[in-house]
Amino acid sequence: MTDIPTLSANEVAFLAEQEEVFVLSRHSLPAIHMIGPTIPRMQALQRHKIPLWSAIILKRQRKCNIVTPEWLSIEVLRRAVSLERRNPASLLTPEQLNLPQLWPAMARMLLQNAHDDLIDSPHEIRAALHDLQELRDLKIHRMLRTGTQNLYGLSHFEVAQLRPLLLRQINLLLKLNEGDNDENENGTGIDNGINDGGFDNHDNNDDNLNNDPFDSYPSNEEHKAFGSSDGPFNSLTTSPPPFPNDSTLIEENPTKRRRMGGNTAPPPESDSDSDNDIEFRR
Amino acid sequence: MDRDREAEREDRIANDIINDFEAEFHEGLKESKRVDIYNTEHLENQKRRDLETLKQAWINEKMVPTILPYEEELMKRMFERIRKQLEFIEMNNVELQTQEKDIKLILVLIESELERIQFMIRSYVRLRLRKIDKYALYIQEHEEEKDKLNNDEITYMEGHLSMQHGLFEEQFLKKMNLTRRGNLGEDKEMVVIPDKSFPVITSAIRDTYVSNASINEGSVYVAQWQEVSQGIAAGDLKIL
Repeated sequence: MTDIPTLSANEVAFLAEQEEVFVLSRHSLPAIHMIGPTIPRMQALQRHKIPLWSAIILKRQRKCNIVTPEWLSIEVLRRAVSLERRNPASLLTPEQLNLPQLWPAMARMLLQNAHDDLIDSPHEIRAALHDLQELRDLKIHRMLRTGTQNLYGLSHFEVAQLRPLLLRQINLLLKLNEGDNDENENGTGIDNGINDGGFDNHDNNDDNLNNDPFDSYPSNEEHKAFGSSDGPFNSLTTSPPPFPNDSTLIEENPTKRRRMGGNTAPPPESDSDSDNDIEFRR
Repeated sequence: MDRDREAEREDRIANDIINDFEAEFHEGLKESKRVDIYNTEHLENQKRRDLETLKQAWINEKMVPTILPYEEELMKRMFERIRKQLEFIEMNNVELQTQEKDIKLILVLIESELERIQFMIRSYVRLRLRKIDKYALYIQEHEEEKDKLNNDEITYMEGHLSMQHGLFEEQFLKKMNLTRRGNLGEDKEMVVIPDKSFPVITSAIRDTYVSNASINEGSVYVAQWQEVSQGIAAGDLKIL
């Protein structure tokens, strides 16, 4: 099988660091000519727009404060959650929610490096971020079950997260559409598709799958681990987690699900931030 | 009397000339300043665009199954800027003791950026080399694919192929009384070719069509590479 290209967690963080933020300088610095855009001359107590990575360096040296972006506030995040709730049928784009494309990665870096510059309390922001992420993940999983090619609303971060799964699923579907008759050629591909968790039998997708040959193929336990043949990156944290089992997907309210505790699937975005968050709530 | 008038007239003319000259001079000064500002703005915009292009070129090379045309001009500009930054670091390292105290911080910023850019370029080049290794026989057979490589990459590919060929000859083909004509022999079917039907994830920059499906601006759309490659080239779609 063709190896699936991925953006690793570190590479996504790298891209997020390229985004620009405002800083409030505490120190004067001359303009610095860079390979990319010049870092403007800094004067104390003035706002400047610089890339996040340089803001973090300056912040660590106590040369500036990072101005919290508007979207990293409880107000915007809670509003995003309620907007998503009000549109259960479709996923909203990050623009509609006033979020940047790589919001989870940026939020994480800002929470780590500039928690003292935040306006709202970091714990509450983490909780709000977590709620929004879970809600969106739930919607995305629903959307993927339909096997659609148009993934309206997905952010760049979520694309990076889901890429291996998504590409495998779509690749398989497209190939099946192409050569419906040629079963021999696609045999192995179908096996993989089933085992990668895309097509378990579920009320939602029965309609779509009735005409497809998936049901008749046996699944092979060995391949159940997600992304087992993913190449060098599967050991990293971003390779997407396996699908939560069906009972969790039917659950309407994602916040309840987390508090139910032990026996449910782990939240899809279990990075160190969210772990802290759960502990805090307990 | 006449002489006085004569002198007055000459004075006036001289003054006029001087005034004209001064006006022209100031005008010219302003003009050149404007050109300067224009130039710095122009350079600044170019730097911003180049960084964006490099990022996108890197992502594209990663996600697309076939090899893409080498970004010759972009890389030239990047290497030139990297050289300048290295010179700057070199110069300021020598004079570290006498320079202003902020120089250390400035150097940290410059070096970090250098690292970031070099990471992207390295990754870009390596991704290309990996594809060249994998599809060498296919690329060698197709002129339009070969045109996408730069000279160094062609040298690399040919060197690699001839070494591989020599190794295979030495190791087993000679002993089995088999010789291949060139690298290919008659086993055309065994040449690894890029899977153009492999899907890529794109986002629509404006409303467009991909094989009869209409896609709205801002949508994320997954489709086979061969279906979207034109849309990417036209700038309607962007690879995520």
